[in-house]
Amino acid sequence: MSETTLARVVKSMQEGDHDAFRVLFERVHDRLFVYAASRSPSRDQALDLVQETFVDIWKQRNSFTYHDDERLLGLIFLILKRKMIKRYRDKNEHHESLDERTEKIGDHDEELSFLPHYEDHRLLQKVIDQLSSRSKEVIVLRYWSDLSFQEIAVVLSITETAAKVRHHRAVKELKEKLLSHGYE
Amino acid sequence: MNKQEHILRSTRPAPLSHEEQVVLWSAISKRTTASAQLSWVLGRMQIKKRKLVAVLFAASLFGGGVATVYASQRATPEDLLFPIDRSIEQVQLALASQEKKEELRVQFGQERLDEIKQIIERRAVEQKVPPSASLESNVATSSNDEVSPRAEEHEKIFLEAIKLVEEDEDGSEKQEVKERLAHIKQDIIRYQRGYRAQDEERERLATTTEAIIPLQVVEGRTFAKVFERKKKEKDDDDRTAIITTPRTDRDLTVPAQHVFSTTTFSDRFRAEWKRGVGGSERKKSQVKREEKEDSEERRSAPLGQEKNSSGGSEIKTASPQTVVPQPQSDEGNESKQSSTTDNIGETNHSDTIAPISGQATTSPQISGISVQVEDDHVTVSWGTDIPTLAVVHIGTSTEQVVTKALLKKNDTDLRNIHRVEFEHLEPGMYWAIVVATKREGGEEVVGVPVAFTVTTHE
Repeated sequence: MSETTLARVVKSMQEGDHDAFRVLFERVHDRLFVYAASRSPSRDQALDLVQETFVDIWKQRNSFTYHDDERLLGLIFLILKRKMIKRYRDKNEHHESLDERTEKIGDHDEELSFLPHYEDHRLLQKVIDQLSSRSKEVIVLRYWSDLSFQEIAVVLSITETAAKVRHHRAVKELKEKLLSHGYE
Repeated sequence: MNKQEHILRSTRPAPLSHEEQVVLWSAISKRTTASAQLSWVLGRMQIKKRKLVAVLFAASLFGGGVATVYASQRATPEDLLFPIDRSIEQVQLALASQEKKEELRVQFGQERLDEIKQIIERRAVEQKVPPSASLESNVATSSNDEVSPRAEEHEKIFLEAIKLVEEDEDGSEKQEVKERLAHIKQDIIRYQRGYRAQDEERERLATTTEAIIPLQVVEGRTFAKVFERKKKEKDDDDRTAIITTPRTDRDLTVPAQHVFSTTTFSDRFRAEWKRGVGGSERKKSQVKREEKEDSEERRSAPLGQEKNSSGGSEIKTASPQTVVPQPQSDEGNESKQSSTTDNIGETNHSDTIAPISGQATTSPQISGISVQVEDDHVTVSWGTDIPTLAVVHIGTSTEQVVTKALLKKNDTDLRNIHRVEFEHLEPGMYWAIVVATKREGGEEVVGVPVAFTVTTHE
C-alpha cells in the first residue's frame, strides 16, 4: 500500500475495506482537526467533531463519486463544516456578496508582505480569532489545513475565483486588525 | 512556501498527539466496524432470501430473537455474545453456495483480524490512561495481578483466531482465498508477538515502577500561584497566560516511586550524577561560551557537582535575565529573595517528583534540565541515562504545554546529552517540558516542568 492514491483508497473503502479507511484517516485527520479546532471551544469538542465526520464518511462511502483529489478533500471538509454549523449555529453565516467576483486580486506574495516583521504568534492568533467568521474560515482552511483554492471553493460552495477573492479580503482584514492593534 | 505563509501557518493549533490519535481512531473504528457488520447482514438479507433463513435459524436456535443476533455480530472475542457471533458464521457458511463460501471465509478472517486489532488498540488506550486520577486509588489498584488473567484470556483469543483461520484455509478450494487467509494468519501472528512483547515489557515495569500518578495535582496549585503573583506584579493581562489549574492531564505523569523518594533523593542524585549522566563538564563549557554576565556563572555553577548539598532538584533556570526567581533556581544561590520564599518552599515538591532513580528501569530518566535565556534566544539542555529521542514543549501554562504547546521541537537523534534551541520568544513567562522516549512511539517519560522568563531589552 505504499503508493495509494485517494482514488484507490475510495474504491477499496466502497468495497468494504476498513484498512483503506484507516489510510484516509491517517492522511487527513490533522488537517480536519485544525479546522474543527478553529471553531470549537475545546480540543475535546474538536476531536468529537472529527470523529463524527469520519463515522459519516464511512457510512456514506457508497455515495461518493471520485472525480479528483480536490473535490474529495473539499467534500470531506464540507461534511465537517456542516457538522460545525449544526453544532455552533452561527449568526455570522451569511451569503456571498455579489461584487466578490469582480474584485481585483493582488499578487499573493505582495499581499502578505506586512507579516515578516511580525512574529508575535500569540497576538497574531488573537487577531485571527477576531476576524469575521468568513475571513477566519478562509485563513484557517488555507494556512492551517493547507487546502488549495480549488479545495476551499468546494468547502465553501463557491467558485475558485470567489475563494481567492475571499482570501484576499481576509488577508486585508487581518492587516487592518494588526494595524489597529498598534502594530506597524 | 514563503516566510509570510510560514508565519500564518505557525499559528495553527498543536496537531494531535499520538495518544489522541489512538483514542480517536479506536472510537471511529469501533463505531464503523459495528455498523459495517450490521449493514453487511442487512444487505445480505435483502438480496438473498437464503441468508434471511440462515439468520433467523440462528436466532431461533439460541432463543434470543433477532436483536441478539445483531448485537452478537458486533461482539468481539472479549464479549459474552461472541460465541453467538461464531455460531452465526458457522450457519452462514453451511448454507452458503460454494462460491459464497469462499467469499465468507475471507470475510470472517478479516473480521477476526479486525477484532484482534481492536483488542490491541483498546488495550493501548487503557494502559496509557489510568482509570482514576486520584493518587490513592491508583497506587492501590496498580498491581499486575489485575493484568495477568486478561493477558491469558487474550492469548487464548489469539490462538483461537489462528486456528479458525487455518481451518478456513484448509477448507477452501481456491488458491486465491488460501493466500488471502494465509496473509491474515500472518498478520494475526504478528499482532500476537507484538502483544507478548508489550506484555513482558509491562510486567517488567510493574515490578519496578508501580503506579503512575498525575503530577499536576501537586504542581498545579503552585504554578497557579506563581502566575498570580506575576500577574499582580506586571498587570499585563495580555501576555500573562490564562491561569488554569490542571487536574487530570494524563500527559503529565511520572512514576509514583519518585514522589515518595524524598529522603534518598540526594544520594541517588549524587550517584546518578557521578556516573556522568548530567555531563557537568559540558555544561560548564557551554556556560563559559555563552556567559556574558558573571551572575550567570554563579547560578549555573551548582548545576555541576555541589548542588545536592541542599537536597536540591536537578532543574534550574540558569538565566541572567530571569527577573522573578523561579522555584527551580533556589539552591546554590545564596541570595534567595525573601519575596519568593514561600514559592520555593512549595515547589520543592518538584524535587521529590524529579525523575531520578537509582533503580534499574527500562524507561529513561531525565536529569539536569536547564534553561538558558539570552535575549529572546532560549536553550534547553538536559541529560538522560540512556540514549533517547525527545520533544521539548514550550508553553505559557503547564496544562497547555504538552497538549497545546506554543512551540515544540524534536530532538531526533538518539543520545544522552541533549540541547534544543528556540528563537524569537516574546517577553513573558513560559514553561518548558522535556518529554523523552527510547524509540518512536515508545513509552514517554515527562521531565519536570521548568519555568523561565524572557524579558525585553529596551
